[in-house]
Amino acid sequence: MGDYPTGIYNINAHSDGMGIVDGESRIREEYSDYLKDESNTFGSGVEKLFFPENIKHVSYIVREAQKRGKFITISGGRTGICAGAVAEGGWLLSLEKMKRILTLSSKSGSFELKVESGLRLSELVTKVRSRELGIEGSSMERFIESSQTFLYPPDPTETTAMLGGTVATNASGARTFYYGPTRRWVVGMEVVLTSGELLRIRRGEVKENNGYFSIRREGGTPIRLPFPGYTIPETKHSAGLFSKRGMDIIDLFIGSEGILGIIVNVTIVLIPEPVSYIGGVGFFNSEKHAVDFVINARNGDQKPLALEYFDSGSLLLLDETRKIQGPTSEIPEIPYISGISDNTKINVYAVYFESAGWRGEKKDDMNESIKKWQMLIEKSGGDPAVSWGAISKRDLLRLKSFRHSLPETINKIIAQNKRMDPRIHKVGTDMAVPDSHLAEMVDFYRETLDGESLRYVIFGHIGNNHLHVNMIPDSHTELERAKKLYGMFARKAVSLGGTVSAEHGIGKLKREYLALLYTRNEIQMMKTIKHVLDPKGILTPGNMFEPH
Amino acid sequence: MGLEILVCMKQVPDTQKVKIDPERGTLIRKGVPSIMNPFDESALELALEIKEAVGGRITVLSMGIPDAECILRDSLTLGAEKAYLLTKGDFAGADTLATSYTISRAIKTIGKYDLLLFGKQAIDGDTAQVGPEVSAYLDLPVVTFVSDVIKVEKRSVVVERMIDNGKQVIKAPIPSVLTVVKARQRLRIPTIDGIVSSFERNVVRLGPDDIGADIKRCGLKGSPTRVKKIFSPEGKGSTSYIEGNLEQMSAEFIDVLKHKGLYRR
Repeated sequence: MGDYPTGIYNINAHSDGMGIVDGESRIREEYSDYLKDESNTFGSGVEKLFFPENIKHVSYIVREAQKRGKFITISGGRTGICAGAVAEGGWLLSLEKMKRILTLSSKSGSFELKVESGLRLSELVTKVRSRELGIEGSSMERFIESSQTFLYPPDPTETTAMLGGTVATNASGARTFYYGPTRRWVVGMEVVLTSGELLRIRRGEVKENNGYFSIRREGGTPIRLPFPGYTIPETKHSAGLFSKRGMDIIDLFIGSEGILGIIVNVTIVLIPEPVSYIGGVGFFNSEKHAVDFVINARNGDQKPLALEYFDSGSLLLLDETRKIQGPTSEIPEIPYISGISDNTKINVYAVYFESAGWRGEKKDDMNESIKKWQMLIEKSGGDPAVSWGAISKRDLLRLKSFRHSLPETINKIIAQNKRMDPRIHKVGTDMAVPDSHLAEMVDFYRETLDGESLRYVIFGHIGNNHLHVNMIPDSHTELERAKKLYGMFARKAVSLGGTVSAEHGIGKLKREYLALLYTRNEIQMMKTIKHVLDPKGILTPGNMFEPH
Repeated sequence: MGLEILVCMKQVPDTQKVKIDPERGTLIRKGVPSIMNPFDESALELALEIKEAVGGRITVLSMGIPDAECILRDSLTLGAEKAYLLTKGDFAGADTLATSYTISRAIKTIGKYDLLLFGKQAIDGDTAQVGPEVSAYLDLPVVTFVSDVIKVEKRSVVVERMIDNGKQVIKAPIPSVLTVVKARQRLRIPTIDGIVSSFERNVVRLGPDDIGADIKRCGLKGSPTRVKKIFSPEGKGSTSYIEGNLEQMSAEFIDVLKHKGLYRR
């Protein structure tokens, strides 16, 4: 990639050997999976479904779409929950066949890996772990022979997500608390523009200057792309185009939800993995103590990788799942809850924590670290005698499945409720607020919801002050009420300097909340930037803004 | 009352992840994680439950390479008081006879126990012989296939054991050897306090001299068993794997059925 400085390049487009599925009814009947995402929003009226295998194919599709005036929706792993990959009419472009690992280069103790967008995260993890990348060269030899193992830090829960999709949405995971979101680990990308040309970006080469990005163009006049220029919340944030004075152009595309171009490959950073992990779950009898624990853990010298919250409602659901699964359940017996018959009014709150041991540290350092967690739990009002600890791989894996069981359990209940009324869906918030407002936001959620009859749970990335309130309506009236509450929570988060979406993005389902965060002029600015790169508005119509 | 409980355990390769080298007929161990034998996990959980119910102390014992210390350390974090590891070159390559001899020598050396718990079998060798053989060496009664301990009395235990058509309830004297099946509650997760207090306890390593063992009866030398051949059963037909999320997998599966003419709307 070093051969090509950031700029726009010509591509010889062709369609030789590309899979194309033609016809609305055939796509609806045989490829219905491609019409929906994890939000269970179904698209319709898709006329053609493309399976490009290389950049030339993608370029061909956009050129044809321009000629014929067709819309294009980009489809990755469809693990999103805001319908960003769901198409309403037009053409659908699945990147699943573009999953090659292209190059590896070594960079002072870490590596940079160039990968096509269609590789799933789970596949990436396996290939990096087993050191089988299917490529050759001196960097590859260094990679294989290294005494260290390497890691791509972003860890979204949905590991069937495709890498390109996680970049287009700036995805996060539990360890985002320590490592930051996807944005931080992307150093290059190639994007097919709606002109059919290829934009190659290398981080560090093109930055905002006097309100514009200037991009050179092979054999033509450079493009001047305006810079958004508004202020974005300083929390974990994934809503609208990124903006920061002096920003790199690559950051405009990361999290852009496909509205600016089709990301066909990305160059990501692999860093040395910790040599050991400590995990645990602190249990507390009041929500205040749990929040205190989080604040103390953030301020201490523990450097947690992750801090994740479970309120009483969440723990009760997990305990139900444990009982249904029986003795083979991965979920351990939950203190204060398991074994109690009437536990509807129980107060138990839990915080999952995780920290790492790094190369060069001694066994004693790990022991000291566990002792610090023990003291922290105690100091915050919890009980280390019932709180879980995990230092073996087995226990760390069990805690992982403990955490991942909750969203699955909620989805099962929603699926049951949906049978009573198909309009019902989960209403899950995704707001984050600045550190100083964590307690206030938690109190606001609790006070508001305690006055409602609606079933709900609160869990999620409390380290980033980013909790998911999941409301589980069992009637259409409750659904409408949940949506109203969602709006209230979003307005409260914005009033505290927070964001309406910290990781799920806007897509087609959360457009109205963008207007809570940005003024009309600011949203117009996003549209102007899109207009420069996609003047006819053919790309991913409906994402972020109303379609024309 | 307080019981002295011994749990014998083995570190095994995670056989769900083991493959067999088709040409050499040997296990490919490279990159396969080692775990506590799942049957031994059940035995340890049972021991912890007995200790919670009637009080007592738990000792854990294993034989293996130095890395087998991991499973003993894990046991200490869960509340075992003492841990012993038989690790010396003389012990290597042991079949069940030599293993049982060595373990029984060690038990005679380290203490007197009321209950001696073993996993019914190890998932790598699958012999289910070591528990009963140790009981023979120690001249103790053995109850195999134990699924639960129902009651602990002064000089006996009432246990439930799995049989082909149901369950059998047996009263066994103290001391006895019990071999435990997997159908129990999963081994618990340690508490933070449990991990911290395990820092004070060490795994004691034992060699043949420490246990007064005749090295001719240990390890490969003491093992009459010969493995003639290890092989993968020949598969009929081929297996292909479908990947993706549930929806994607179901859709692809339907495609396969359609392709074979086995699916009609």
